[in-house]
Amino acid sequence: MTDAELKELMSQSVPKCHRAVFDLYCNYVYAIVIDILRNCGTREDIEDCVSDIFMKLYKRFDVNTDFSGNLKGYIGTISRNTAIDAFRRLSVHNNRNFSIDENNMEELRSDDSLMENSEKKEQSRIILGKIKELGEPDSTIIIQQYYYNRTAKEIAESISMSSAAVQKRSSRAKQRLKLLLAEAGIGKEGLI
Amino acid sequence: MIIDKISEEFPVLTEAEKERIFAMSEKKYNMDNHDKENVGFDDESEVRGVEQYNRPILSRLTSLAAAAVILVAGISGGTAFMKYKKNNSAATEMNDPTEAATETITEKEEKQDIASECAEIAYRLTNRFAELENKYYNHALSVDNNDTLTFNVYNSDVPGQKATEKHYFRVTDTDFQSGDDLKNGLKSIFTDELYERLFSVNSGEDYETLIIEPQYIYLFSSSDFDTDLSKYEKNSAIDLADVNYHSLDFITYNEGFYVSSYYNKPVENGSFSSYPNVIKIKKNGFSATVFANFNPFVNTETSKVGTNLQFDFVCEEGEWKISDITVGRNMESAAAYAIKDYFINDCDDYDINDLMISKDVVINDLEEDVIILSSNGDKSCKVYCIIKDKNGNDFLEFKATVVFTNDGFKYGRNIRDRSGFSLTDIKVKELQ
Repeated sequence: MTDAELKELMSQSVPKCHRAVFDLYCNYVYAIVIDILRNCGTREDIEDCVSDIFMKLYKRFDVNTDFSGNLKGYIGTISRNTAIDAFRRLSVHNNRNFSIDENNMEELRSDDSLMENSEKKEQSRIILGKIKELGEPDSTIIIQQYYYNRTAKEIAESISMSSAAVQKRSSRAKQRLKLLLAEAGIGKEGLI
Repeated sequence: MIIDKISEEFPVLTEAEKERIFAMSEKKYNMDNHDKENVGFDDESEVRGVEQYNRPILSRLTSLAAAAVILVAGISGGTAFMKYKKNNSAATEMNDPTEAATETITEKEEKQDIASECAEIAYRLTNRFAELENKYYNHALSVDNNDTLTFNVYNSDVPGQKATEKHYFRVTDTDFQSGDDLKNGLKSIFTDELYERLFSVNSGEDYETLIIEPQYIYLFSSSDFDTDLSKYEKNSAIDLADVNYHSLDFITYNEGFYVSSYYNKPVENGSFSSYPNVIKIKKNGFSATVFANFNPFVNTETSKVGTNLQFDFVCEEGEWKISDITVGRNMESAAAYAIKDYFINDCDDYDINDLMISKDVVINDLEEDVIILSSNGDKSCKVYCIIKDKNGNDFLEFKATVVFTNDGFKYGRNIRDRSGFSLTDIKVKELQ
């Protein structure tokens, strides 16, 4: 659905437009949020944050909204900022002993954030490429397990395998991935 | 952007999750609008028109393997340090200690004999258990190097993925010629109750698995066995989609049983790192603990101590069997986490940002680097670890004693509980 179609839909039905925006971008928003909150938030916290983001988006969208331009970029920015706020709140609540001081927060918020850093970006591109080289279902298993923090059981249900098979494939895939990354010149130091 | 690609190529949300999140977002949006229209305040009235939003409480998911991280390099070397001596194994708790003073020498000797006999029974059964696991997991099998097969394996569901060559060797182990042989091997050392308990919980319509909770350690999966590839000619192509993603670790071919060579390597640390320690003797059985230093009970190839397991044994119809297995603390994993925690939270002399230690508490990135110099069961251990700087150069030499205050069989999984461990005798030295 294009931005123009979203605008058209908004003029016809606000709830339908909300739904369309949600369907288009929920995976994207979820991926951003889990990237920031996976270490301090539960699954509930992450879903709560995602729903907060969409609530904010709905509040900003109305019949006069100009959907042209970089809607995805806008959504990405809202998502990141909301997730960072949630991270700060959850870190204090969990009494974590390493603090997100202003310097770190600047890193997360700035345009030259960790995600945008070109060196890390290139490395991430290579790592993702190697994960895809594993082939299915291994690449899905690795991403779901280590990016999305899914359990073996959840992964098994999503790809119609047994959880034992998933765990075994995961273990084997990790070993293969180590070799592939080593061939690409990415060692342990590059992953931290 | 990478997140873009991940979200597009690996979407993870189920329909149920999407509906739940969408419903939450709509509810919050509607409540927000409702509040603006209906909430009024005065000095005396209560807040009106505000609906309390109760965040749905989802069941908390157990983290099964959250400490895993993709590691590439590890420290090589390190010598085996633990050689358990058989005559140190009798740490039994048969009776109230106050009774010991009144025991005769004969009674004491008798108890030691019983404990020693129990330890030998445990030694025999646990070794057979390790042997079966190594055959299955590490392919520690005798093979005929002159009877081999080669296939080109590809996946039609992933266009563009190159086919890879897979080699097979015919297995000559007489007691491991099929998936049933592995099952029967396990049945011979497990009680029927244990086998059925592990088997029934974790099997489905088209697969069979034995899994030991709580760490989801599996003993076998039928999807690894017995796919017959006889219809394929040698050196021909095989589509993984046709064999339903069979792991192709073990196959049959023209009535022969073959094992793949991919993970076929000598098993260096393929056994237990300690002799069974008998901890309890009852009328009809006994319990013993032992450290398992083999897959799937270890997380790294450099492990020297491994995971503490408790085996319960009973005598059924004159034959000793394993009636239960309880998984406790993995010593390398627990010690590595304690060191990581020290540098993140307690160390004043070095900035974590200058070290090659991730601040991500889910990642146990020192696990491959830690060396356990000595240990007192699973209660404490002396550790040694080289810490690298951010550039990957060896920077610090770390030594300490890690004391675990929580019962490893209850808290083995929850190593991130800081109250479960403490460090003493810490020595940190900069390397030149």
